Amino acid sequence: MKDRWILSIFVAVFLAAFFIPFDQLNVQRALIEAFSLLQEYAREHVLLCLIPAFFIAGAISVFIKKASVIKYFGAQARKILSYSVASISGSILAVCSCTVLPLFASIYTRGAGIGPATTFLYAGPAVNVLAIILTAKVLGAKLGFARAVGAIGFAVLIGWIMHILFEKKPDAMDTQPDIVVEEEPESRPLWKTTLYFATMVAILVFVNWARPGTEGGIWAFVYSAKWVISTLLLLYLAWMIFAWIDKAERKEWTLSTWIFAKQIFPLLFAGVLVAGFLLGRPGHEALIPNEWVARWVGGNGLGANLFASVAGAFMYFATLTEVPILQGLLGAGMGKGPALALLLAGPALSLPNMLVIRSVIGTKKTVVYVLLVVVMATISGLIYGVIA
Amino acid sequence: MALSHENKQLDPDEFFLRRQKMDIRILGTGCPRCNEVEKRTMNVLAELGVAADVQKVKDIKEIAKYGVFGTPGLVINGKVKSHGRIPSLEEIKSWIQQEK
Repeated sequence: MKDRWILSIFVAVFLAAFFIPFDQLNVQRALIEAFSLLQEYAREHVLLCLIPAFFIAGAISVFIKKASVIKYFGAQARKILSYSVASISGSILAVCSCTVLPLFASIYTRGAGIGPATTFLYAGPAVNVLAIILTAKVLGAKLGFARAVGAIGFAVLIGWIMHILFEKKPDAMDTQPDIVVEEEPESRPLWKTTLYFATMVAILVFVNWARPGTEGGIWAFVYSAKWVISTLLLLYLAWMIFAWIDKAERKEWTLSTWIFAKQIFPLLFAGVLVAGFLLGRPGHEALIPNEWVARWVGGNGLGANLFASVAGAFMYFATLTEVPILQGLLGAGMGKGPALALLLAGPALSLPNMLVIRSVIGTKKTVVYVLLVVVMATISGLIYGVIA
Repeated sequence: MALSHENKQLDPDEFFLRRQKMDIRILGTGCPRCNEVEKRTMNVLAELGVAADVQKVKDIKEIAKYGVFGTPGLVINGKVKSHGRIPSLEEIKSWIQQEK
């Protein structure tokens, strides 16, 4: 880190310490909320949800060979396949949001062009495994599912519209050499990799199995047996790890998991503290009064959805921090529709990444893309608000 | 004068004509995974005692010019060796010995 950055952090901390009126009751209440929310995350979400999710993310980056997916982004690939693959492949290619932009630039300049590139750009942050797992765990399976489906569907639509508006002449594309597809040797058959990932996901699902509302029935039985099932699966996973994976790969897996954790945990915890300080836990008020939240993004009106989309589009969310912020807003009276709108527009766009996108595709295309994202997020919010 | 040429962006063909020592580019926007690739490359170079010009390419438009998908990427003497993953020390070692 550059010294200039360290100095600006010092200055920020100093100014906060100097000016925040800690003796005021509402500030004290907000501080308690901040740490209560942090405690809630530490107790409810870290051990059983986030840590397994990081191991899955690490495994994806080490064990899944990406060449088979990447060939669909080439200039010669069939367009319909490019769009479909672009909308869902974020889950394995963009495990963390920092890899989305370079991939976007490559698909645009060297591969399948503007359509699939923007499809990938929009869907990537929403379908990455960490985001899906944490959204479903904290905000509920319904919103997690709506986020993934909304992102995938609208990503294809946005990409297609961008393609129609800004299609390049075919001969201009041909002068660019096609993308490099690296041949990676498969170190184990596909069924082993599949079984290995399925087991990890199953463990994650079973340890987080929620107590069902009604007694009896299959769900309640699974709930009562969840630790037995999880332990058996964990033993099976341990056997696979030692029988199928060699020592070097195990080391790589641990290292990638650690790199993700090192990068994402501090930001997520800072995000949780800020969300708790400003918005509080659900049912508790912190610094921002609930009436304000209800006035701006309550209900499911066009205004609320549009406001959530625009605010989300410009605001920067570090990886996963959209989840605690949304949790705070929902608890303070935000409508379900605007929540989805914010989830769709938020992580996909921010002021800093708009500037990077602009440097790649130019001002006109960027403006159109941002407008499309805002409009689509608003529409998805309206639809979800009605059916949810 | 010869030195000042080395820092310029050369296309691969031109590069081979003027090549003096190994040229390594690490493609990545500065994420921790890219730093890991840089660290490993440096370790291998030190271990093998090979002199190389190692540059980081952080601009995403420059990265896209190499036609790679996903960062971190490792380019040795204009050839893309790996992308979208962290290569192992052994792999980096063999690529550097190939290009020496």
